Amino acid sequence: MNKEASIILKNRAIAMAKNPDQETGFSKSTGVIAFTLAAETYCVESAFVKEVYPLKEYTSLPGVPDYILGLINVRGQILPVVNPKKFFNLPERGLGELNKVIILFHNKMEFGILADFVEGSLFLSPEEIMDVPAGVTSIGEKYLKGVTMDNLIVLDAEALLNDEGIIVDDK
Amino acid sequence: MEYKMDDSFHSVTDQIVTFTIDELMLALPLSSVKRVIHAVEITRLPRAPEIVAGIINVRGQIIPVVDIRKRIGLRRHELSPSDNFIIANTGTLDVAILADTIQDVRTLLPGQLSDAGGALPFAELLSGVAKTENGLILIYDLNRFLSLEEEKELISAMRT
Amino acid sequence: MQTKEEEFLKRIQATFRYEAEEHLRAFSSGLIELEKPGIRENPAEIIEIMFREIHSLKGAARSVDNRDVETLCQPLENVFSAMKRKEINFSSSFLGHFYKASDLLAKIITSEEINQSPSERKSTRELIQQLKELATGKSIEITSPELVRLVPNPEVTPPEATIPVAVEIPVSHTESPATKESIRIRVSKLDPLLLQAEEMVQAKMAIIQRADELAQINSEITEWIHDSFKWKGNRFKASPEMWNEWMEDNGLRLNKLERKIDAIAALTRRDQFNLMRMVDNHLDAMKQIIMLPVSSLVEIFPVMVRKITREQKKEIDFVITGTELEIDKRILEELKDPLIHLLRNCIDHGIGKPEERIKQNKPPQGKITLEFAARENGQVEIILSDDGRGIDTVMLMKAASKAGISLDDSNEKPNRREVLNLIFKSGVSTSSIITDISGNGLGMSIVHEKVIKLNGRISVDSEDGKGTSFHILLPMTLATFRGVAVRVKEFSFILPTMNVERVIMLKEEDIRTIENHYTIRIDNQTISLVDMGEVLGLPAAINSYVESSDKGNETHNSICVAVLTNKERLMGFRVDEILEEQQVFVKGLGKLLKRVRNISGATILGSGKVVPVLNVSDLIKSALRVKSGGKVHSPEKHTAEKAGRILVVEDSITSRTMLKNVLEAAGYIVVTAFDGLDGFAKARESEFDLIMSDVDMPRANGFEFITKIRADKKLKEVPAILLTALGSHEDRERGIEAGADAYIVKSSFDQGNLLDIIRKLI
Repeated sequence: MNKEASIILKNRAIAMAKNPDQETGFSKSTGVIAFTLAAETYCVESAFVKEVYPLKEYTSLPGVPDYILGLINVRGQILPVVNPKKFFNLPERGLGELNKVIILFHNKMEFGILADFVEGSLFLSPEEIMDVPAGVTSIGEKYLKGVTMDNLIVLDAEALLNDEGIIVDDK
Repeated sequence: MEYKMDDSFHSVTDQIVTFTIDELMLALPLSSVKRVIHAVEITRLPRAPEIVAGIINVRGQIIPVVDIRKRIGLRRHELSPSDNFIIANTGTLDVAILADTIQDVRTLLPGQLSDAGGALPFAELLSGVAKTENGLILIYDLNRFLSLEEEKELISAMRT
Repeated sequence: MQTKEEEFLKRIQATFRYEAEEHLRAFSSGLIELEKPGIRENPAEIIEIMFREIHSLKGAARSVDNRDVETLCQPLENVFSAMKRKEINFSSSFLGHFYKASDLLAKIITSEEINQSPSERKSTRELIQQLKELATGKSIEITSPELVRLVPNPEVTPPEATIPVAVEIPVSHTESPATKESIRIRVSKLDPLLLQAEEMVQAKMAIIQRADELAQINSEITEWIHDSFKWKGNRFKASPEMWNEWMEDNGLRLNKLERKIDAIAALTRRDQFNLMRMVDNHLDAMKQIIMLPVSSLVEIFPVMVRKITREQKKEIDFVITGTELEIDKRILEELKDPLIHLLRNCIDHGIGKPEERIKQNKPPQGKITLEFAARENGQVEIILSDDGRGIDTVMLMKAASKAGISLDDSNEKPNRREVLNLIFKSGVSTSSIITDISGNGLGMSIVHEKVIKLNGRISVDSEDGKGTSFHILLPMTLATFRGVAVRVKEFSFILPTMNVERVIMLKEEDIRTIENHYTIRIDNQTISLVDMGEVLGLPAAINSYVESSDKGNETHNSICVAVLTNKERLMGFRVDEILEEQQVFVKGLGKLLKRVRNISGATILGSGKVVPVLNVSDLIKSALRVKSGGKVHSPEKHTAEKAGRILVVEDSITSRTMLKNVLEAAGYIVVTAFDGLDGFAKARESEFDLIMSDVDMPRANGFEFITKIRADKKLKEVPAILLTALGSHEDRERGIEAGADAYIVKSSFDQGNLLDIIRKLI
């Protein structure tokens, strides 16, 4: 067996053997929900995801910032939906049956984010997440945790949910 | 409505995870698959049945790695980083099945599934054969993977 | 074990607090009665009642081992018992002590602390001493109301107790945690709820039963399919007899299944009716539960009025009517502060001192009335009036201009109502003296805000020297209210019925322009007419009323106008259609949308569609801003101003016409083509901002058409949307592959979303 390959396998075995209870925060292997926005794949920590809901129809609101897509009815609860593409300068693609709303929650904040397509859930471990490359800047940069080798962009749901700046409060 | 009815016709075994070993397309019922991981270094296990390549540690859980190449008449390979382990439950224990590549998850239509019949030499390991546009897919029955004896041997080997 | 005991003690304490508050309230009411001149001569009956209350309070305190309450009640009880036995005679000089005792008791009862502070202990000791002296017939002279209050000795006072006690609201005990968290429910209201809960168990059982039955059917079908696989495998070997047998078996199975499914369908329908009825009843009962009588709010007011009048050496007869009316508990809670504020204002500014009133030929005793009355549409009207000085409009104008507020529309002669409404503006106070409790000019604007928040209206009427009255109109329930659904372009909205003065249909001739503003006349009154879409900042179609008043309206040339009011003014809002009035459940928009201009909430219609509920007072403000040429807060406005050119390629004439209408109504210029080839030719002919195409078309279909466009040098940048009846994943992929910017499944999206997507692409 070539040496390089055996090192890779060994390191993976070490990482895999780690007990999730021994570490804290994102550093342990964390479940995430992966979804696409335009041509990019993003993911968000499952701990902040309440559910994934199909986008059947929505009601747009007059006079709100463009990142507010509108309101949806989730089994009788009215929820605002945020369009994250507006944070990352991504092109709009129109809406169809594959669009899903990923409902995020933390403390008392709860809203959906619009995804083009939800790919599924997977696990990420800390060593897989690298810093966002320098030079990548958009309004949404503060909502990013990092990016993996496979170009999976890791959203910082907590930062997004705790950002007072996105709250619409017309005085 | 009709669609929904149709959907519920499929029992859990109608969804399969397909993977390849060498050029052979194989499958496991989705219901028995827990997750898929990249291959990691295997720790050898003395006195284990031949089919067991060793054990791995997945987040504290010790899982035997099953290499079915020998069982279906293929030659063993060196482990490569591009290999995958399918962690699945045999009904009594979790095992990691060594696979070259993972293909996809697909739903079988009623007409696609047939009995393995006596055509193949290792038919006793199969729960069925699916006909697809890409050829036949052999669906493994995990319950028949390890013989009772092998299972006993394995459990006792893992204890030591 | 210990925790259980602690829990029990906690519960028992809460119960005691509740009971104690009741006794104290009754005791306080007695105190007020005692002060009435007529009763002062013959107080025996009241003294008897108060004696009993204090006696019961003492008993309750003893049972929970509350020594502080008990030791204070004892001498107080002795005084009353002495009066009862006529050993001593009631004198108004006693009142001070009684008030003080009632204050202290309230404090001890609501306090979470087990131990009193040293200063409290000292004043309690003093009071007990004084009460003991009263009971033995020694009289203590009280000269000024200040002495009645708890003014601790400065030397022995810890820092926190130096806060002047006089500022404290005497009713603070109603804010204790115990009362905030618990709610008293009449058994008659609770019983139906319990019954309903039991009924729901039936519904639960029924659902479990249905699920089991369905699972059984499912397994039968699976078995059948399994058998048919086996059969298929062997069919070539099958004899005609076997074949017949199989067919017969199939028939039997089918019949059996059909019967089962029929039965389940019927049962499920029955379950559905039952469940619907249960849910509706339950909702009604829940609504009833949160209704509390007004008395629960106002019973604290007399004590408060009494206290302030005593301090200000005024005399006031305070009358409350309509206390039996039931109002949503949450509204009552919100009403407390505004009403307290208004009441204080009446006493502070409205009612003069007796000598002043006599000079004005009024009885020395002022009168304040607080009336609660049910009005139509589930509203309650609250009128608070006094016979005091009235509001000085000249002073008010001065104060307003000092605060930098002027009346809008610089009318030469402002009407009285407009001037009076200035009182609700922030920073305006006519009072030359700022007291602790009123006169800082902030209170009235807060009152106004609170009432508006509750979807109510407030207005004020006042006559110089004669008195002032405040009218508040509020919904009695918070959760539901009636709303009028309207359509504006492709958007639907709900207008709160209470803000809709009326709905009218007009002809163009009825609209007049005054100084370049549209106006209409109703009831000899000229009011402004504005376009709802424009005020909301919806993508404006065409500015003139004349041109846009055609589509979709059977009554040709008529214009729908909702005349809205925020009680201060009327304004006409032009909408495209008035749909219907209905009961709606208003829900909040969540924490993310804390406050959205012009929108107060949203509701879910029977169809599941979410519809925003408009905030009329915001709308009127926004309309005034639009009129005065200010900026309208709308990010969509810029895009809407320049109309885009859209090519619609669609073979179905119905779909084509419909799309054209929708797009034109939204202000776009539309050219149509009937298939891909025609579309490509038309696209080459002129400039377009967007191309929309159907997928299934004769001659070049949608995919081919888009591919062709993307290959064309001139057209390759034009955004393209594929519209289709098919919604499969492959189709979408194919569409995107061909170069479409959006792929819309016709069935799943309404016009609003379609326009939204177009707006995003252009």
